[in-house]
Amino acid sequence: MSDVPAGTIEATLERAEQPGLSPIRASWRRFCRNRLALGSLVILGLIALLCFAGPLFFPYGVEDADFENISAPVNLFSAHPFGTDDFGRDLLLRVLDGGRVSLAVGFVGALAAVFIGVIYGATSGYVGGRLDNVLMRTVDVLYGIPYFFLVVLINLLVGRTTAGLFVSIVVVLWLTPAVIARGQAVSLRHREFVDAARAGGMTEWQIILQHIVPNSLNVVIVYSSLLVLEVIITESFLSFLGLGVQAPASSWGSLIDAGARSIETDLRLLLLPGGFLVATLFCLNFVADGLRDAFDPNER
Amino acid sequence: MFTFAIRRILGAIPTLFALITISFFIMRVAPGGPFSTNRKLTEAVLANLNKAYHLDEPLWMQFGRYLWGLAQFDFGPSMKYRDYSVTELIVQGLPVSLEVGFWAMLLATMIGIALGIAGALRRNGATDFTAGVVAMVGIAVPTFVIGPLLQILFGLQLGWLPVAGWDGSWLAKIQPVLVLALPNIAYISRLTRGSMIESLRTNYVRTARAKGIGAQRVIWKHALTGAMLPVIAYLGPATAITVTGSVVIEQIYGIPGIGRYFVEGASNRDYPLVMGVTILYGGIVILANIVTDVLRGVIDPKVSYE
Amino acid sequence: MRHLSARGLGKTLLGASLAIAIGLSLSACEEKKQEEAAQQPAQQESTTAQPAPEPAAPAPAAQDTQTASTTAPAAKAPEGEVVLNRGFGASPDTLDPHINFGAREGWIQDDMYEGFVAYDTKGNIVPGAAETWEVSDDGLTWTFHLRDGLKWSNGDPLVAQDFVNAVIRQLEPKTASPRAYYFYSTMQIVGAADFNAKEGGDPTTVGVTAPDDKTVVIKLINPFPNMLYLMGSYYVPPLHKPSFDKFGGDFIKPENIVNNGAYKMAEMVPQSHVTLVKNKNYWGAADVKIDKVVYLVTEDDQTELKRYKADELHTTNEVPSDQLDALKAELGDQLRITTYVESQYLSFNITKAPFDNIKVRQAIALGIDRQVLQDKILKAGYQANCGYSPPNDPRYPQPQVPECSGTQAERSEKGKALLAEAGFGPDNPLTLTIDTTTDNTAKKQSEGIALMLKQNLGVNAKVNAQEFQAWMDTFYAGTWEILNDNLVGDMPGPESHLSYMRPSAESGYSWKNDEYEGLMDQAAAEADIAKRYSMLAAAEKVLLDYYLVTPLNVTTSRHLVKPSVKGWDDNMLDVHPTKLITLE
Repeated sequence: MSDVPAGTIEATLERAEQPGLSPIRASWRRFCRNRLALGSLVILGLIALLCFAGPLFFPYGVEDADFENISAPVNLFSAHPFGTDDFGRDLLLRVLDGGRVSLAVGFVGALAAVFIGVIYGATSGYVGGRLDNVLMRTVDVLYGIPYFFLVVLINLLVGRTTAGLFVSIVVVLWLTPAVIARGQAVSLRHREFVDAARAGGMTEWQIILQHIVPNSLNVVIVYSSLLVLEVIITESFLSFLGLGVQAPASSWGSLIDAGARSIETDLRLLLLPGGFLVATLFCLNFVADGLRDAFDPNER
Repeated sequence: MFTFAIRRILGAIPTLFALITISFFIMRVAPGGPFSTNRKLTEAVLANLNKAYHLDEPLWMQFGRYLWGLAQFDFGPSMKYRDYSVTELIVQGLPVSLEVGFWAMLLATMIGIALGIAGALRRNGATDFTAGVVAMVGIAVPTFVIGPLLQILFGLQLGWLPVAGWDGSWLAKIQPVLVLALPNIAYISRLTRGSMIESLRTNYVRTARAKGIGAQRVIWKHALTGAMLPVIAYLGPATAITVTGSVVIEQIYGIPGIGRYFVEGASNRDYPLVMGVTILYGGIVILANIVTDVLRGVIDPKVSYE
Repeated sequence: MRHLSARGLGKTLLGASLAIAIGLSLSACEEKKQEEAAQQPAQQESTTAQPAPEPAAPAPAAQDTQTASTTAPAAKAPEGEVVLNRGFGASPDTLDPHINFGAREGWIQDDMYEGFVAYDTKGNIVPGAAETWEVSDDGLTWTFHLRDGLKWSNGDPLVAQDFVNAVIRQLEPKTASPRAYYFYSTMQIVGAADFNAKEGGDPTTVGVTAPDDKTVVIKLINPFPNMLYLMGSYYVPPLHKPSFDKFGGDFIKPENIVNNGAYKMAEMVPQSHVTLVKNKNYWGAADVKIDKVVYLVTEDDQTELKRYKADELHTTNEVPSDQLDALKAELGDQLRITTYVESQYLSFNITKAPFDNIKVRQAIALGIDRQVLQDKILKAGYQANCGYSPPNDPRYPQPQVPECSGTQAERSEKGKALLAEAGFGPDNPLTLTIDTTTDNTAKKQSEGIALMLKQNLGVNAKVNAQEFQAWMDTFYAGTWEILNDNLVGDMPGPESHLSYMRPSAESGYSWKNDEYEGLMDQAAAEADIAKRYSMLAAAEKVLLDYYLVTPLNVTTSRHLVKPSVKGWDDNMLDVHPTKLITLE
């Protein structure tokens, strides 16, 4: 209980300092109240858990091929509840194992792409002038460079490692977020609160990081959830170039690609990895919406 | 605004030049060449072929030769499709890709924006959910899965549409346009919805409502214009990418566009063809970004041109 | 708010649908003008070049949308015109018959040109442009006698010199044709190698001459009993000198082309289709029943299958290998699987340890269950092979590798023992990488082998799939260990395969073996087929005993053929000339 008179500035400041009302916590509270988003987060966590820990519970490994049991159908009571693939490997295990790569690369890749893109674009748009011109023309050039050869170059420089795969994927995906963020920044830099911040003595960097970026956050969150599929597909495209995940390892992208070829013969090969992917992306989108709602600066 | 546009168009020239230079040299990093596709070629034949196409000259000389050709609007011969020049291939394929891409973007923009606005106005309601699901099919299901499924449904089982092929009839265009539009519908509707929601909550919209301006005008004039900005920014590169053809769509539906040249040209090491489509694509991207910048200036009164 | 938003949404969607409907009907009207009345099944006509109507889609390069090949067909198709729609696979590289190196392009070439010999539906050699021929006793001189009254498609008389010019053009260095080696290596024509080696040679020094308008004489350095297989449209399509002199490389464009086969080119749209129509000046035109054949580009075999099922195609180029079982059940006889002149094998890099140790190579060969690989895993209709070359000539006594006998359990035991002798075992497992291309079947086979090696021998096998150029580069750089390898023969029999492993073929294998060379030289000089073949068999045994490669399979050609198509018989060369086909 405070003895500072209510309604004064001191009271407001005191209330603000109390833990339960910090902006992050408040946003989190708002998020939790969104049952759809919360539920989706839980499901996402479950999927991740299944993919990373699940394979440990299988009595056989990902590379164990049972040549007698190729393309076995779904039989929940057999050793292979969801059947086997065309090499006789357990399908569920392949999907879970593939999920490790896809989830890791997908999430991290999408986040990295958006992160880089937003900082780049927001700076460019906010600062304007010649810097903006140079930065955005660089983006134009990067859009145009033939991706295939860019990837070859990256692999020459970085080597055919996970880092190389990561860089190859992110190197083109950050471009559109940058363009969008820059557009936002150009609009925002003339708003009153920016002038106020500058008048209040914030440095340009502080303004970018504390005002421009968070106000683009809404677009950022939505766009990064959209990017995850693109990352996964780009990864499977890269495996056509002989990069990315190599056989006999798997990823959702390559499993779905193989499954798409068997639509008319064995729908199972598509449905299992596809189902996981769709579930993940749906949940991701609800979570993204929830985050966006929760962190909307105008809601505070 | 006019001077702004002119300045930007002039600025495109060095950008394009940088793109041409970087692309020309980066292509040579990949191993192999256009003629090493067949293992039965002997050294002598390979040498002959390389000589005929000036591939035995030092790189800077080849580059100079290429630039000289460009100045005369000659993009060179295709090294893989030896019956055609790059110009011929592009002139034949570009209209096709443009057509499919244009309809796809038009469809995607209209439906995407409509869905996004509907979703924003009736937040978390049934409309929003349905719109969201439709959109999410576009982001969760890859085109190389949707395409074959539609082909089976409309082509084989119902027989309403041809499975593939480009015979000029509009029936043949429906599926590729639809499948190409779908991911864009997803992106556009999600972006619209998100920015529309935010836009509806901003202070100036609240102020406008408080002032009592007619509610509908409020929505359509103030909120929408603000909400459209990120969407327009997205539409720039998205249009460029879509109208230059999608490799997957063109392969699945047998469309003779230029989309495949981006990938095939690279794996065939058909250097002139890759350069040709790269320049084309680069030009379109630059143009699209200029257009979106100009549009932003038109829509957002606060944006000024420095 | 509520009714406003509903109305607002309604308006937007209504506006959108109206716009789309108007747009589509506009383009439909335009299409109607250019659409031919479709009396026949799925006629694939010219593409319509629609100018982009909206400035929102900037098109800096597409101002001129009228291109030469998008000619809108003017009149209705004549009643009763018989059209055959054939799936072609990926777009043809080139249709210049003297430069083309692709087998599929060879089909179109075979329809448009005729060499000395032709094929019947079963792939047997029959007279083509040449009515009779003979070979001298020493096997070094071949003489071909042309028919009477041969004409080019434009009416010009077709003479022997036109065939000579064809060979000369392919040998000329400035043509830069990849096919030159057929004439100085596969069959060794006198003077061919020298003529090809440097510019400005004298064509009269090459051993192909036309003593008169109806005779062609070919002189060889060494006898070549299988000569006739190289005398068809793929190898000696005649050259129409006037149009070549006038148009240069463009002489094959539809508006310029002059050819001597059963069909003429009507239209060529890259990435879409090639249309051929009957050539009235062909000597056998009376028997040609198909008026028009359209080769449709079908890059994606899944789509091609769907198009076939939807009756857009009469025949396909390929059949998706993972659906063979299902399709056999569903379509029965329409599915045609035939052994082809291609064999696949694993190659070992004998310059790289530990693969320089023959025990290791043998062990790996033992670890593969070839039957299971083909029948259960690959299921592409391929057949397990126990020799290096494809066993498609019954006259050839092919040696078989010992890895094809016994049970897999026995083989695995032997393999593990060999690996132990070489120093590998459970605590020191052998690790290896199989390099393959990104072709689906190749990848699948390599994966299957890797899994087998792990199961049967405890080997840590990985697969490295690269796109073709990178794969070739890896091969030539010598950084590979094991290669998922293959070779398509130029003709039936073992010869192309065996010659390919000689240093003179420059194929990139660093293998030189005196015994092999000696046997191959002997065989090359032998005119009698039986003796030649037994020498070749001895040579193949040397190769197999060395474990330079270990055989995997013989590939097949796979097609779907509608029941209404007659005159399409399965044959090993995979030749199906349109002029022999009829539609019922």
